[in-house]
Order: sequence, then structure tokens, then C-alpha cells
Amino acid sequence: MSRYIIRRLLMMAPLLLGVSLIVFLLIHSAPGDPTAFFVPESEPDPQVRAAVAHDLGLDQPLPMQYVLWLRKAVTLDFGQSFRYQQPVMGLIMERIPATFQLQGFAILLALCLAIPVGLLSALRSGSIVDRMATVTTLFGLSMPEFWSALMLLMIFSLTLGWLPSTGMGQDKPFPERMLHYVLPVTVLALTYVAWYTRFVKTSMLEVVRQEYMTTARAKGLASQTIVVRHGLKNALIPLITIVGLSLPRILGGSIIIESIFAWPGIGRLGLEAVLKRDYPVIMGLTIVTTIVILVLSLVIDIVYVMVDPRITFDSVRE
Amino acid sequence: MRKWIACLALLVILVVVGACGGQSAPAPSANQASDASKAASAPAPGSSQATAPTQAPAAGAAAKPGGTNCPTVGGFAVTGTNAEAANINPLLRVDTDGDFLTDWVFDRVLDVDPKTFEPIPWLAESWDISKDGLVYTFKLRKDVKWHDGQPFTAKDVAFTLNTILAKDYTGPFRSRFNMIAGAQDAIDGKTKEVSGIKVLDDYTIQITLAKPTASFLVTSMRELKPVPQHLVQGQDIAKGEWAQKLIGTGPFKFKEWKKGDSWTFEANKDYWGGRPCLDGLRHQVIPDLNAMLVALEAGDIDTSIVPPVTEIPRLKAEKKLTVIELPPSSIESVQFNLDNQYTKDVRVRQAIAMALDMKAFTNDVLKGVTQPADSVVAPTLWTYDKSQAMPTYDVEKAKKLLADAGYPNGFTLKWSTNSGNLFREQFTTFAQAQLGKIGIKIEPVMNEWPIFLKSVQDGKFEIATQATASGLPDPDSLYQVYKTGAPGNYYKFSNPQVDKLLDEGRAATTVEDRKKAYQQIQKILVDELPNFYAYYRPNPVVTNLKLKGITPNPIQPYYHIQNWYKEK
Repeated sequence: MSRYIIRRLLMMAPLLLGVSLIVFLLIHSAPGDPTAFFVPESEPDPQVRAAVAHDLGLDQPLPMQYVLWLRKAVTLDFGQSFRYQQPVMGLIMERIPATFQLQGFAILLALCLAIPVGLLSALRSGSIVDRMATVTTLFGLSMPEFWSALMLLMIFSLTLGWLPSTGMGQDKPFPERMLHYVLPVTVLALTYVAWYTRFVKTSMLEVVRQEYMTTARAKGLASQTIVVRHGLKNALIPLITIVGLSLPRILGGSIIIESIFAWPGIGRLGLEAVLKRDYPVIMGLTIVTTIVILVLSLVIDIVYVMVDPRITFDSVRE
Repeated sequence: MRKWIACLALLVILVVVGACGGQSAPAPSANQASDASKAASAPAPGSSQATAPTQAPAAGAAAKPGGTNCPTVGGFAVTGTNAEAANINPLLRVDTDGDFLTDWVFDRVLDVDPKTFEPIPWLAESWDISKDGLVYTFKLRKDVKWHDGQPFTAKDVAFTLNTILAKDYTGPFRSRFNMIAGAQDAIDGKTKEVSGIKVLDDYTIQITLAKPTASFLVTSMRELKPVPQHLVQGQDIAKGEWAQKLIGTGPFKFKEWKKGDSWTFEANKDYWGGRPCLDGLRHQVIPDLNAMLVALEAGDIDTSIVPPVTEIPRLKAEKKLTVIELPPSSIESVQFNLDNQYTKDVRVRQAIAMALDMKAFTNDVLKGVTQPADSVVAPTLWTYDKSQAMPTYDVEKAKKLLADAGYPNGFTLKWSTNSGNLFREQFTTFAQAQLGKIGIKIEPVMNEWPIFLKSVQDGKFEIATQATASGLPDPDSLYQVYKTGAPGNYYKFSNPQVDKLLDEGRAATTVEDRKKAYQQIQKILVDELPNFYAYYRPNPVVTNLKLKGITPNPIQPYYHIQNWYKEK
């Protein structure tokens, strides 16, 4: 097992190098000039811009810029943000908890809803519960996030006045602060719930038809035991994959939510860096998120092996 | 994939809206020479109001330097913005929000009267200008203290100027002070002390210019927000300890910046103008304008200077929020590239201007939230002359002009603007339909802000539509845009007479002479039409009913924030 993990970790190095090179080339070939943001646009003093370019290291030839960046990046030092004039790593670390909390709660909430609902609709296929679940999940999948976000805001913040409309409430004490999480987490969870529910249902339907389920029933086990111990346990294994597949969304998927709810997360940090051509932040964020995603998918693979005895590290290796 | 595109599109919109919001104010230039000869003998205009910071009413507190007036004391207000400032460092601020927020923490050396745009005292309680317009002597207030308790003196002003003129300075303000005698030696690194800046005593500073510059007070000194020498000296102005703490002299103390979230400020109870009414302020970043409106209506924020403009008619009707519609500070215009084979002909430019029914656009498309522009400067500016108006709607004449120019059947033009700006997108569609009637086919080119900006700055456009300098607070700002070869002259406009008049307007020492020069410039700009000034950018401020004492003006929406108070 440790050999497997070491191998996977080693494989990350060329991957990160490739990702960083591609992103570096992409951002430098995109039009737009970072120095434009350092001078009032009505008076773009060329002298000042040249001085800024020198200050930011943008006057060096491109390959040199990449090598200089890489030399520092190896020690996880991604340099200074052009825009904020502060270390990139600090900026990212400041923002990561906000996004991870948002996504973590949303995935958790989605699982808590999706497993029972998916299970029920599989066991009572065609019933009212099943049909309602189908309609609701279809709705959840079809609604654009910005729309459901604004609708919930209008209902719960504006009309009813129950929930705060904006920000993370960082200046408020603990229990009150959690109110700020309700709307963004709900909106984000809506899509996940829909996705997970359908998955649990399909996978459960498949498991129910398995021969070992028939055997269990033939042995005369209580139907609850059959469903939970033999059915659900096996049906949930593929769900691990699906949750794993949600991981890349941690960066991309919450940009809209973070904008509407003024959530200071990494999605917005990345977006603003792209729009303001803040190269060091774009590079740093790419590397950090790539590492996070790779590590999390490694964890998921390990969990897989631990949960499903049919899968071993040897089989994964091949 | 589709989700990604939608995400990006929405965000591009948000940020671009923010980016353009940033163009009107950060460093508008202008000067307004007070009548310099008069100033030389008598105290500067406005100084009478300055010396008596008494209990003027909060509303219309135009010329009430410093003194606060609080019906209630205490409370906390939250302002909403959609574009986070890159910094609020007075030496490095580059965007609108950065300019506004620095006014909360720092003080200007002098300010302008928001109605007349004449300079009025602030940290400098009076000044004196020599007859030749070269030597400025400023007397500073003696009761000003930095937030750490140290006294503010003329040395701090001199230090701030020397920092801006130093060789290694990378902020945007150098061009505003390079007319000071000896500035070039400092910029070249030959000296650290500019010879034209002399500290006469602790509260008197004398600045000598290399050449007369009528706009010096308003364009240059007004933009100077002194920093404390005892804390900044020897430090990196962007990354040093002071840059994290931002000790100033202003009505509020900087407390915290949670990046991507908010800026927090607390009242400076020892403010020289009196204690600010509020205990504190938070400036909250809400990138989405619809969400901003919900937050306003729900009472989670108290005011915003960037409400979604199309909602203004509804908000005014509902009366649940206070809507203040300020006079315009910037003008959306149709900018012609004068190197283009078609638009280099003035008849083509006039035809395009006459084919656009701006009344229909502002009334029908923008629902009456703004009006067509009629001049090259803001109507509130002292050089504004109604008689020099932009061409008005006349399709027949437009067709004739186009035929005279040799294009009776029209041609195709690329029309560039930044995507995500609602007005500009609607204006583009509108122009496409209207210009189609005279045979000009418009090909819209919409790009995100940095790409659009670069294409304009590189002269790679045919027609661009964006905001153009409105001459506020001083018409010298036209210099950057219309002087041959000036960095902001993207259209490649070159007119020897305008060049001469711009220099005259800059060097003239009386208001009358300046006015004459700038009004002649306006006439030429209307005749030559390098830019068709199309409509005023709406300038609304929306506030909930509890927040009072706000006195926004076109160039300073958070004007005199020390007077804001919460109704109990």
C-alpha cells in the first residue's frame, strides 16, 4: 500500500509540471497587459508602465520568467500577487477555508438527503415518493445556480427576512454566523442532491437484482437487514466515485455562488486574477488546486480499496 | 462545459461592470485655477469657509472643511461595492474604489467645491500664489494629528511629494507633480530632495513650479494625500509595515482588510474636524449587482454607489430606499479611430452622430435613467458652454453627408466595446439598428475589459464606445486625451490649434483666459468630432432610509463621510 501511495505521489510531479507549463503559456498568450492596471487608464504613462513591468519581472524573456517562477514554486513560493502586492500562498490560504467549508457542507447536506431519497425511490419504484423525487431532481439539475440563488435570496432574505443575504458573517459570533451558510450551501447542494439521488437510485436498483440479495432473502433475513447490510452498503460503493468526481468543482463550480453571496472563496480569487491578469495568482491557484484534487482523488482510491474487498492495490496498479 | 461558459460569462460581466465603474474617478485630472492674481493678494477662495469649521447643516455641506455635525453619535454603516480596490494606499491607489476609500483614512491637502470645482482648503488652510504663477505657498492646519498621535507637519507633505518623485516610485501620480522645479533630477535619481519643494516652517510649505500650471491646485495638490514621514521613511511603500497599517490623518482609522470580502474602519475620535458620527464602517464587496440590490433592500448593507441602474425607476417609485441621482461625472462616447479610411472623414463622423437618436436610446432603452450628452464636458463644469452642442438626430442630413463623403451605399465598420457592460451592449445593438438605416453595417466586437482596453490603447479599433474624460474636476484633463501624441489620445487626434489652446489653458493665470481657451477647444472638438459624446453615464446612489447625512457629489460619492449618521 505504501509503495502504491509513493508511486502515485511521484507521478504527481510530471503532471504538475505539465499543468504549470500549459497554464503559463495560456495566460501569457491571452491578450491584455497586467501593467494596464497600475496606471489610470486615461493616462497610461509609458514610463511608469515600463517601470512596473520591470518591477513585476515582466521585462524578462518568457522562458526565463517560467524558469524563475519554477525555481521558487518548487518550494511552494509562488511569488507576489501583482494586484495585491502580497505573497500568493498567503492569499490562497486565506481564501481556501471559505470555499472548502461551503463545498464540504454542501456535499454533506447533499449526501444526507440523497441516500435516503435515492433508496426509497429504488425500493418503491413508481410510487409517489419516486415520482416526486424524479421531478424534484430533474428540477434541481435544470435550474441554473444563479437563478435558484437569486430566487432563494428574494424569498428568504428579502420577503421573509429570515436569513442574511450577503457575506460570510465573519464579524458575527458563532451560532449567528452559521445563518450566513444556509442559503449558499443550499443552492450548491441542490445540484449535488439531484445528481447523487439519481445515482443512488440506479445503483440500488442494480444491487437489488443481484443474486446475493436473493440468497439473503432465501435465508429468511429481515428485509431491513437485507436492504441496509447487503443492499445499501454495496450500492454506495460507486457513490464514492461520484463524490470524487465532484472534487474538481471545488474550484470551478462555486464561482457563481461565491459571486452572488459575496463569499470570499478561491473561485472568485481565481476569476478576478484572470480578469486582472494577475499571473502569479493564476499560476499559484492552478498548482494548489491541482495538488488538492490529486491528493483527494488518491484518498478516494484508497478508501475504495478499503471499502470494496474486490479491489486491491495490485489490481489498481495494473 | 456549458456550465463553465455560463459561469465565466456571468463573472466576466460582473467584473467588467466593475472595471468600467473604475474609469471615471481614480485620477481625474483637472485644475481650476482660482483667479491666480486675485489669490496672490487675498487669501485663497473658500478660505473664509475654511477657518470656521462650525455646525453647518449636514446636507449640502459643500464648503465646510472638516467640522462634523452629528444629530446622533454611534452606530455602524455598511457600504456595498462590486469591485474590490486593489489597494487603499494613497501613494499607489489606481481605481475608483481605492480613491474613495483613501479619503476615509487620509486627508487631501485641498479639495474642490463640489458645485463650482474651485479649490477649497482642507489640510492646507490657505495658500498664496506668486504673480507669475510659479511659487505656491501653503499654510497648513496646526491641529492635525496622525492616527498614532504624532503631529502632522509640512515635512510630511514634502516627504510625500519627494516619495512620488523618487526614481523607484511605481505608482500612478508622478505625472501630476513633474512640473515642480527640479522634479526631473529626482526622477532621474540625481537627488532625493526636489529643489522646488521647501519646508519654510513646521506648518508652511513652498512649492516652486518649473512652468506655470493653472491646474496645479486641483489636478495635482488635490490628489496629494500626505503620508506620515516618521512611519514611511525607509520602508517599501507597497509592502512595508506602514502599508499594512495605513496610518493616516483622516476621519476613520483603517482596521482590517479581509480580501475578497470587506474593509473595516473605525472612527478616529481625535479627528481634527471633530469626531465622526458613526463608530465604524464596513465596505462590503458584493460582485453581483442583483444580489447587491437584495442586500440593500433587506437592510444587510446601508448604501451603494453601484446599484443596478435599470432598477432605479422601480426603486424611486417604491420609496423604500433613498435614491439620489447625481449630476454626471463621465460621458459615454463613440470614439472614432482617425486612422481608419472611413472615419478619418469628418463627414462620416458627423453622419454617424446624426444617425443616432440618442433621445430614443436614453428614454426607451435606458428607461429615462439618463440623458443624451450635449457637450464635450460635464454640464456642471465651469467651462461648459451650451451653445457648443453635439450634433442632433437628423437621418436625412446624415444620409446626405455620407453621400457627400462618397459613400452613398455605406460600408462596414467594427464597433468595439467591453462585454458585460449593460449600457454599452445595449448601445451597440441600438447603434447597429440605427446606423443600418443610413447604410452603415456595424460588426460588434465585444471583449472582456483588459482585451478591449488593450485594443483601444494599441489603436486597433475602428469605433470604440466607452467613457471619455468629462473635464471634471478640471478641464486640463482634456490634455491627456486630445493633445497630439498624448498617452490617452488613442484616436490619433491631432490639431495644432487644439494643441496650442491646451497649452494656453494650462499656462493661463486667470479664470477668464482659461475659460476662453477651453471653450475654443470645445468648439473645435464639436466641429471635428473625434469623439461623439453620446449620453451621460447615470450616477445614482441608493441608501436605506436609516442612513442620513450623506452628501454625495459627482466626483466624491462618499463625500464627507464623517457626517454620515444612523437615525435612531
